[in-house]
Amino acid sequence: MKNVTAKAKKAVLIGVGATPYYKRGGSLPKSVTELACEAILAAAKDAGINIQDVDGFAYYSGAKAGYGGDSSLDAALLVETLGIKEINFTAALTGGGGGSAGAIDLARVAVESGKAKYVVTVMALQQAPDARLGTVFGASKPTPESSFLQPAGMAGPGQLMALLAKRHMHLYGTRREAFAEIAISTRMNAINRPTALRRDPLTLEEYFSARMISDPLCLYDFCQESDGAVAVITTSSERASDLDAQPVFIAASAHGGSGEWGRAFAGMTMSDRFFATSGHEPIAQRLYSEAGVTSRDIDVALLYDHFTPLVLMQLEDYGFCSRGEGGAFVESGAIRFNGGQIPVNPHGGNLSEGYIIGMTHILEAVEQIRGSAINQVRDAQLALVTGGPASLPVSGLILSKTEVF
Amino acid sequence: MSLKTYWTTQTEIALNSWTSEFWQSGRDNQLAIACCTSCGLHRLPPLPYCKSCLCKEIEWRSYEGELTLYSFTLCAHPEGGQYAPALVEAGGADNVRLIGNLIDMNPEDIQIGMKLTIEWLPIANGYKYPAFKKA
Repeated sequence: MKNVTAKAKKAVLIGVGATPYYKRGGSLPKSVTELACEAILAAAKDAGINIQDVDGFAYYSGAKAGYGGDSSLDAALLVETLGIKEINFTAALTGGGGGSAGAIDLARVAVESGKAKYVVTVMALQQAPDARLGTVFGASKPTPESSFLQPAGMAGPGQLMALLAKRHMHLYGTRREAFAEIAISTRMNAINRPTALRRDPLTLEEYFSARMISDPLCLYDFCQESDGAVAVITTSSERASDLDAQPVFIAASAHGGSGEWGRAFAGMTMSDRFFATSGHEPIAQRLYSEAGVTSRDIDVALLYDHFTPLVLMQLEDYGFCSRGEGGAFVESGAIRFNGGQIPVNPHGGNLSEGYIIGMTHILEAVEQIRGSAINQVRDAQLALVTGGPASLPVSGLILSKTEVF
Repeated sequence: MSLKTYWTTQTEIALNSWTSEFWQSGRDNQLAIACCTSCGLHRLPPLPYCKSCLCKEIEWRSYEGELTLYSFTLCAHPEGGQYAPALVEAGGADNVRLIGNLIDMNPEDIQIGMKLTIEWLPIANGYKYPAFKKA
């Protein structure tokens, strides 16, 4: 009897919604709050609930809808805008995009503890000219800590992550061809998706003739700079059983990571053991342990792809291949939607569909598990979703079609 | 093609009581690294606690040991040309990493593992920022 009660309280994802995705600045004159509410209302509709049923917010606010300006995402304003009468839980993970998948971990805590019934996780991004993510570090005022790296010209995440990529190439002989394969295979997945911002096929020739931004990273190794919003609603399996929408079960969720990863590329003090990685190894171990599965059981992987080399390093951290073998693994075609041993980002990812700081990956995982994805992996039972390799916390989720996995 | 530095003589930095000595030494073209007075672990940047023993107190030691290139990238400079952000390991100081730009070398000659020397170049307010040349 006790078990039944515990099971009934298990959190599930019950609704997903999104705005269209826009090129950077393209969502103006809509406001960030407007974008967020559009996605929240779409998710509520998908779940089949009234907006008044929503009584919780769990998101990752460090990312703050544009990293600057007046575009922060405030739960109070969302509640007021949507006319929600009572709210029981409002919390955000610390850090930035590393917590995208982890925000569901937080929503789960709210639901399974009984603190809230329907919890919204949302990210709305609007990159106005004064709030561009790609130059977020260079544009910010120096602090005593950032003064150790900012003057060296690490203007944005790309310059920082190039140092990890270069080290990986040095240690393991990883080639740019591997990064190219990630860019090209992800683009192939976006071609048939109406929501995708980049739908033209990308060739190896185009990749190698592209502008080099921060060697070894060229234009196509960088994700897009987009606007838009995505929302996800988490509730208990018990409540979900009264709704028409198909629930997606949480087989495992985790956020955190090793202290040796720390501020990661925002400080460049990671231990040598972690430097040329995505920092996700401890999360992978926790997820697999909680779900009682291994990488071989994962049917589709939604890996946060802000920069191609970090996809490769996540494949290693999540055990799809051994440390240092990510390059050869990817170059073998292993991550392709058609015939790959582990299809990665069949939605086109941050690289080609749109960059909403990892939320599109959760949305796609829900669609894959429901069997309604555009590029549906046949009979997908388990989907892995990761948050951005970034400062702590990093995070991940394993979503499941069935309650028992 | 010669490499530029990203910073200019107008580039500003922020200091606090923990980091000030690093920059003051740099003004005198000296590399000083904070060292825990209790367990000896080097700290860069010098945060307020030793991550090994939680001791707060530090002493600053002048560093003249080997400097080795740990990783780098080559970037297009906003005003044309290239600059090369670099992570440099101080092997004799618990491998703490210095961050600066590589100068006075051909981009194609840069190799992870190469030995470097430090050269302090001026930024704003009389401070200097580390650049690295071939040893």
